[in-house]
Amino acid sequence: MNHVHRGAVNALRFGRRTLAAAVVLTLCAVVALAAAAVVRGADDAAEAALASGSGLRQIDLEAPHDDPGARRLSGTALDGVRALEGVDSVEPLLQASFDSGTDESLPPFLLHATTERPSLRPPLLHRSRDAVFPLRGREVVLPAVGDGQDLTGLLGRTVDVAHTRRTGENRGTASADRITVVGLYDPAWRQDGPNAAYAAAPLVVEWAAAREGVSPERFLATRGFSGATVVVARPEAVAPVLERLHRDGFSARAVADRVRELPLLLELFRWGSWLMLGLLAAVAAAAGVGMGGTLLRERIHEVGLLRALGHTRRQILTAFAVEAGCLGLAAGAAGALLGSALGALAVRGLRGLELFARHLPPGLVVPGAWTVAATLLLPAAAVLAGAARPLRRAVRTDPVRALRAW
Amino acid sequence: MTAEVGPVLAARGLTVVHRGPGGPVTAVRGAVLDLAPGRTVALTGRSGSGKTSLLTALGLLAVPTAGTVLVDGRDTAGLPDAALSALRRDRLGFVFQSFHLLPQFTAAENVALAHPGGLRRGAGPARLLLHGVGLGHRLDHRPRQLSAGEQQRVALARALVNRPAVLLADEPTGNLDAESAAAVLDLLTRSAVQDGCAVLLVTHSAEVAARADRVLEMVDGALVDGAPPALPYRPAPAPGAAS
Ligand SMILES: Nc1ncnc2c1ncn2[C@@H]1O[C@H](COP(=O)(O)OP(=O)(O)OP(=O)(O)O)[C@@H](O)[C@H]1O
Ligand SMILES: [Mg+2]
Repeated sequence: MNHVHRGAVNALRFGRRTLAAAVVLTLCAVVALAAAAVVRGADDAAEAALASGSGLRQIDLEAPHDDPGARRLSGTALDGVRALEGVDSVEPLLQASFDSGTDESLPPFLLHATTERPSLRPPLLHRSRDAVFPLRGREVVLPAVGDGQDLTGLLGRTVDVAHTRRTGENRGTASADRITVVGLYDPAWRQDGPNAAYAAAPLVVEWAAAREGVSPERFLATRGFSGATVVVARPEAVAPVLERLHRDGFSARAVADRVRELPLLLELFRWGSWLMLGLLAAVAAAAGVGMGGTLLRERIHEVGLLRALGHTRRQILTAFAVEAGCLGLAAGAAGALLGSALGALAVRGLRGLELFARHLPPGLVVPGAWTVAATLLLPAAAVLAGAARPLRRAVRTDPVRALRAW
Repeated sequence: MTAEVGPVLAARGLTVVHRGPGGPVTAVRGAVLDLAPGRTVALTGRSGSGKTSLLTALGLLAVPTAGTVLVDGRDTAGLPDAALSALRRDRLGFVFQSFHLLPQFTAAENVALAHPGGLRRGAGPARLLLHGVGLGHRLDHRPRQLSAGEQQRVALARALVNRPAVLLADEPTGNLDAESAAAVLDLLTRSAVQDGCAVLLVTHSAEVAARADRVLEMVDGALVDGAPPALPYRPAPAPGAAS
């Protein structure tokens, strides 16, 4: 015990010598932990999003854009998917734009009518009846604020809007239609872009077909939906259904994979965190080698003296190991503390950016226990690893020779 | 206690050979020596005659090339490092020619380093001893804040803090002016008399040697009597290894 104490006293007394190394170590630890906190926040947000709905049971189907070989999401194709074993439901996605038309009493807007999907319903702020969903006929749910306009005044109203009807090559006319606004959703919900309005699938198909100048039946047969969400019975069914869909030529992907995949910048945070941890270990090991070298060169007589005073090699080794470990531990502790704080601040700051808002959770984000433990202990371990060889050599030095070096 | 007291530290046929760049150097040749409690032995000799080599072997810091050292009559040859360390810690005190104080520690801490209880439990005894050597007002000074004489008194206190049975002092006054030297020597002899400590004192000073109970001279690694031995101790049996 008293050799541990002596090592700690030495660490304090020589603190100024190791200050530079301690500062560098602390900085590495802070950056590593802060980056890890951001990544953890994003991972947690993704898992929370998946866990809150049926995300773990969903598969995204995409219409072929560039790949002419992929299957079109026609009505019959989706019916086929619906019939697959393990599939609960298929929720098609299609968008068709409409605007406020000639009605002067409406705020001017351009919105995208989007097929309402039971597994991806927007959070409502206002409603004109108790059960808004499922939407029927020409009922729509609008964003409370859309296309820069406050649309709350439209709640409960039946209004005339316009959509495009194709009349020939590169030509079209505005076609009037009448919709009823039954709900307003929180515009922060951006699942389908900022200006999505929700409607039952037949209405969206009707407008989309008009834009192409064809009948809805023909539209579904030739163009098809732009996407679909396949909901399977159990999470374990995702893999086999996915495989089957791929075999059938669909462009399909598990929603969990998409949600868990972070934007490149956030992935950079992950790699940055690992990189800084590696740097932390390397710098700490170098600091350990340096401390051990100092002991061998400048303080070797100390070893000789302590041996003369009756300290055993092991006791001397203990004291020096504690001394070296203190540097790493102090840097690790400072890094863990400051890094956690900086991480929480970084998450708050990044959430304010459009790019990250969707991927980061609100509220306090703390890095994982293992990351904190690694940040706390890694520098000490690396310092000791670096110092191990010179320390052993120092305590094995013949005490008489060590004393002569005075 | 009418019985004669045996030597606390004894050397039998002690030989120390250094490996030098130009071949082996025999620094100590078959030294035979007994140190008795309460007695001071002065060791003189030319520079390079092997005094320090003898002291480090007696202090169990270097394994002798031949012969053996006995502590309390027990052979130390072949003892493991931990046992030798324990003997140094509990039975021996060292004073070096240059003070060998650690710069990062205060005077009191430097003394406490030699206490078996370490810095914390040794703090009390260390302070007491420093008061004893007249440094009660310098307890928390670092070595570089002390004069040479003060540093050597700290070193002396350090050598005494474990209440050693044997004090090995290698030219403890070599770096001091006459007055400081006298003060240190007074302290040394006082502890020998008061605490029954056996003292082996390397010195070049005839004056200092004159105050010792016995004077030995080292000549080319061999111990020669410098003055008639007046010590009433019983010679310990010579171990086989030495003969
Ligand atoms: N580590 C060593 N390697 C080789 N030779 C050594 C070593 N240590 C001492 N010697 C030699 O052994 C001899 C005795 O040295 P020692 O230091 O014991 O002398 P000393 O009597 O203490 O001298 P001084 O009065 O100058 O301190 C010297 O000739 C010295 O050169
Ligand atoms: Mg010498």
